[in-house]
Amino acid sequence: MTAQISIQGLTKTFPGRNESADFTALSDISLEIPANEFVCLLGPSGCGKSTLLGLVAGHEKSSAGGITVAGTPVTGPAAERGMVFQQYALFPWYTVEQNVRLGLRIKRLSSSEQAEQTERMLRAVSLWDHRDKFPRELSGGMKQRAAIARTLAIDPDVLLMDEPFGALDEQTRNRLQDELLAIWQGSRRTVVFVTHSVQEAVTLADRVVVMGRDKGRIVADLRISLKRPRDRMSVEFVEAEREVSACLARAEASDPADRAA
Amino acid sequence: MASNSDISDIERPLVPRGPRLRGLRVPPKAVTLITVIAAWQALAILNDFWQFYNATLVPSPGGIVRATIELWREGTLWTHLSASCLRVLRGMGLAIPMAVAMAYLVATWKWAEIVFDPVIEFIRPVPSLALLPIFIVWFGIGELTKTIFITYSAFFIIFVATLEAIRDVDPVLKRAAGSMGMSPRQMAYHVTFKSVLPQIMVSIRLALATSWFVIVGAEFLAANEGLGYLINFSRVWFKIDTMMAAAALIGVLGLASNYLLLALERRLFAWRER
Repeated sequence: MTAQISIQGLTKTFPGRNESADFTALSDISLEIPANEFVCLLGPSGCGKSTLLGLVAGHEKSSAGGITVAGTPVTGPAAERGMVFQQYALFPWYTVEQNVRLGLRIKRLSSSEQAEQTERMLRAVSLWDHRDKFPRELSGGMKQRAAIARTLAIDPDVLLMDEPFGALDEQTRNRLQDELLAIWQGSRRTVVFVTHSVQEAVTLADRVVVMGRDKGRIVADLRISLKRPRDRMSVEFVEAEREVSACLARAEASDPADRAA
Repeated sequence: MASNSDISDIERPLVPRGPRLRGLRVPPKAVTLITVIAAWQALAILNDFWQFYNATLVPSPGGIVRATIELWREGTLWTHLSASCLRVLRGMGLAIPMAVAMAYLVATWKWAEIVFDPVIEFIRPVPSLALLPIFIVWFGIGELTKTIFITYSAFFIIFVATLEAIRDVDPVLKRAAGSMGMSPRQMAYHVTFKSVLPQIMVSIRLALATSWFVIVGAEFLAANEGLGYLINFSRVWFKIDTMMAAAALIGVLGLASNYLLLALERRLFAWRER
């Protein structure tokens, strides 16, 4: 089961500290994401794309407007909306296996189902041999694979990813992108993936939503119809990258702070 | 040749390994302690010949050991030792759950913070020894006073450390837990408790040291047994070697309990980046 995400007139204002003015991160954002679509939110840092993802996850409360997932309004975090963080967010006191299994325990699966599902997920991300290690003993790429396994093990309807590969080196990043796509193509679900990398967006997404720094305004909504698997070196790929980059450059140019400078 | 010596320089451990005694490796810090005690003993032996200080006032390590054995022969060693240990254990046993529960309450419930935090912050800077005479007036000179006194002294140390630790729990981990579908209670265990446990253990170690510190004070004033009582009682009879034996025993107990807890921490928190 996957879900459609519907965002209507979403506004998020953070109260200013000590007399300073309130900060509006998102202003009147509307976006429809159909079921099973892989959407990348692309934008310069500080454009509010992570805030938007946090609102969909239910970690933040909106100031106005609302979000529904499969018709149900989002009021807080839930297992149906799995989240993968840039900082991995593995529980350091649990081994890789315990981390993955924890979500299944919370879901109250039977013990045999827990064991089976955990093994399947850890094998899928090739961490089965490292299952007894603590997160500190893993490389960044392995940590993120463990975190992805933990989230996917719960089988969420929607997968939210907040710059998950942002802290990794390029080779690891590319490999994890391919692994993520392989898993996603094996069991399709709705994915919202935040990134500031054009190449990453073009590699992964069915659709790229480009956000400007101007209160999270959506400046472009592009469909990437390249066939999978995508060759990052192909002419079509580079052309798509160029198109997305141009949109991103326009997003930067429309930034009022830059215009003032 | 030059490169060879460079490598051996790198591989040399930063801390000297210490001498081997019949295959047993002695830690360098233990060597320091043994040397100091040996020098003290040597001084005492020299003093036996030349009498340059009063040996009754400053007993030798051997004399302190003799006094300890004497206590053991009389059958009073165990009485005093167990009395002090039990008081510390009882006081800590009360203080730990109370402090942890109170810290969780204050950290998670705004009303608890408003009601309890200012009171606790007001009482906390008052040295517990300053309140001991008041405790004696209120609760008498029985076991209750000593237990409450230890609990009181240990409570604030554990409370403050736990409260800080709970407030420092990584918010990203809490978000991850929420997105895994954890209820507040599950989060309290799998995230908050697991995360703060190392700091709680450290604060228990500090509180235990303080407990050994204050139990002696309590036993000076209000006790019929215990190591603090033994020190004070021996002063009346001018038995300085017994006084020092009791003091040394407290040192050994403090050291032993500290090492025990450290070993426990190392076992429990293998997951930590160290």
